[in-house]
Amino acid sequence: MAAAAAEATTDGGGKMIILISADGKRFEVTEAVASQSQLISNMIEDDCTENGVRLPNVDGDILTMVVDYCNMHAGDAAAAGDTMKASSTEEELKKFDAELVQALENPVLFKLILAANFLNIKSLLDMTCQRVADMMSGKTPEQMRETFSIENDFTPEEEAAIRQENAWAFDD
Amino acid sequence: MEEEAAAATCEIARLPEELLVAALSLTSPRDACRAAAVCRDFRAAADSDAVWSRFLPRDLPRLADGELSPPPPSTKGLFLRLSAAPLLLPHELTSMWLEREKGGKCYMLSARALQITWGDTPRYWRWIPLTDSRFKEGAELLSVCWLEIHGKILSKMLSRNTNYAAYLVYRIADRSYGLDFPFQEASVSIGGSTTTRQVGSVERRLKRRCSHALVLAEDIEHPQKRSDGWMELKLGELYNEEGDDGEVCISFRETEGHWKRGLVVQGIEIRPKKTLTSNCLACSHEKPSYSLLTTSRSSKEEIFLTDGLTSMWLDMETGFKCYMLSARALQLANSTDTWRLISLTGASRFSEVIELTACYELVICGKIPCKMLSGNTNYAAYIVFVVVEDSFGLATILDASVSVGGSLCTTRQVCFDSTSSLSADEHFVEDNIEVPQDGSVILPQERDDGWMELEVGEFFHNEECNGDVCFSVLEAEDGRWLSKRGLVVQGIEIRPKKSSC
Repeated sequence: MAAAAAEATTDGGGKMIILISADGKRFEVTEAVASQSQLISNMIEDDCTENGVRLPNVDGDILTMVVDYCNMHAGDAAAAGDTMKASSTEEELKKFDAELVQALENPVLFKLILAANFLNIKSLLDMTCQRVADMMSGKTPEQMRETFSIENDFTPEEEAAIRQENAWAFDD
Repeated sequence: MEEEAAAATCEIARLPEELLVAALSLTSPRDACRAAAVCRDFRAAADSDAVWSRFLPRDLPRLADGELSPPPPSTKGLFLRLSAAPLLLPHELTSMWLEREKGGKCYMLSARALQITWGDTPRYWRWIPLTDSRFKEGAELLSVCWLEIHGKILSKMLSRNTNYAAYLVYRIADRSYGLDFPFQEASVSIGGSTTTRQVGSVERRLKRRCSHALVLAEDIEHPQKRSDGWMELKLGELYNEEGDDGEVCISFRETEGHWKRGLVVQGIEIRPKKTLTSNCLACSHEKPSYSLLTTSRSSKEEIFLTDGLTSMWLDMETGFKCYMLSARALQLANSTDTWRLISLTGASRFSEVIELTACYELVICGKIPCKMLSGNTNYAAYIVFVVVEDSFGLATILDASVSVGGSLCTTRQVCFDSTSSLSADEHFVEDNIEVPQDGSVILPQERDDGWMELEVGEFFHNEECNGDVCFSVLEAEDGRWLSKRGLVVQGIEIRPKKSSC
């Protein structure tokens, strides 16, 4: 079945690739969509996608998002490909991206960062890291701990010393 | 269940350090410093060279030898060193530091790096050692009537795509004069576009301090006190765009022939404009006190006549009509040469008041038709004014008179400011005018709205009166005809004379 899918072609004539998540879900995407991942792009070049690409670090629900993202962005990544797909305007893309990251619960956001890092999709990695940066900025250490559910593993003395070292950052 | 909770609490900890670094690199120096206090993992990432090299400008200028010794232990250490205090560039004529919030490059061009007209002529300017500056010398203005200072910096030395502002950094020596007015002209140019503005290197203060803060807040740039004890005056702003490879030229000048003295120049500082939340080095200003006074009369019904130059209200006790003739409604001798209009908001009931800039012969006249006044009562007329701190020549004795329908009612001698000095430079003072304090010369009173008032005279108004009531204040026949300036007149107020009790 995987082999059959790999033979399949889209209307535009691009080759199809099967991505297989850690929990065995299968996603069929065009080469243009998949090669936004530098990892997969390299595999395509090396001709080792015949039997589908197994992604043991990426859950199905996360891979769904990644595939949605890549489908949406296929236009700007591969302008040479399907021109109909490239019709999503820049504004639509921005809106899509914003909604994608805004809606995420923390654990999902971090999984998506890990997936973007593993698959080496730079624009998705930048966007998700920016989301984390936005969640940090302007916050006190206490607020950051709360935002990211982090336990303070400093002793009171250590923490006081660090605050002292960075005193300017604490005076508003 | 338990497992799920554990997974949720350590989710960010699952991120490898390089990803935490990637996220922290997108924040700011302040956020990274705060993140270091969150937990051990955060600290390792937040203090990493990878994060701080993103905050450091890529092209730091070369510093003078020894400016960075001992060398900072880390990239963060370097950033903090560069943002803590100015460091000298080679030749020690320019200093450089980083603005902490975004890592923007800031510079100060020392006085020696500026082009100061007449700066090398010891009669006009002298070079003095500085103890509270990174620079060895500052330039002190001794006496010029042509004040002109230029500074230049290559735009590629500044951070790209950044809004900058340029400031003159200076202080005012004792016995300065001529620096408050006329205002100076400042301009900043970059890439062929120039902006010019009026600036005042000395904030104009009123001589009499009263309980109300009455500030002559005009629409010009005012100096600010810096946390390092110097003053700074914003000369202009510029946007340093990518690819702009020209020079930024900054100038400060007043060249209309007025003598001035006492400006001590440390240099010209160029730094990114403060964003709202930032709190950068050397710019924690005291807030200027522009809380303008609103007149205490605002509680009363006051109407403005259709000319916009006269206001009217009713006296609370008697119900008789009171008027204020605005400065613009008065007749002033040589008004364009000797007086200038100042636009004020809030401090006066009128949008404009006038300031005496220079004259020998003072003439202030006003009139109002008799029929506008209420019948059968004693009125008095008052000039409402303030005196600026560096005014002079106002101790002169003047003749004030009031006439009704052409016949003279009162004449008296008045004086605006019996403590006024004779001239701007105490050097020229040979003797002081003695203004009699025995009541033979009328002196001003402070009003409850922060202004002063000087009673010009009284008159009795009855309903048969026709013609105008005329008020005048003129130089006395036997007066000293002093050169004078610094009187700010709001207008002439006419109100029923309080019966003495």
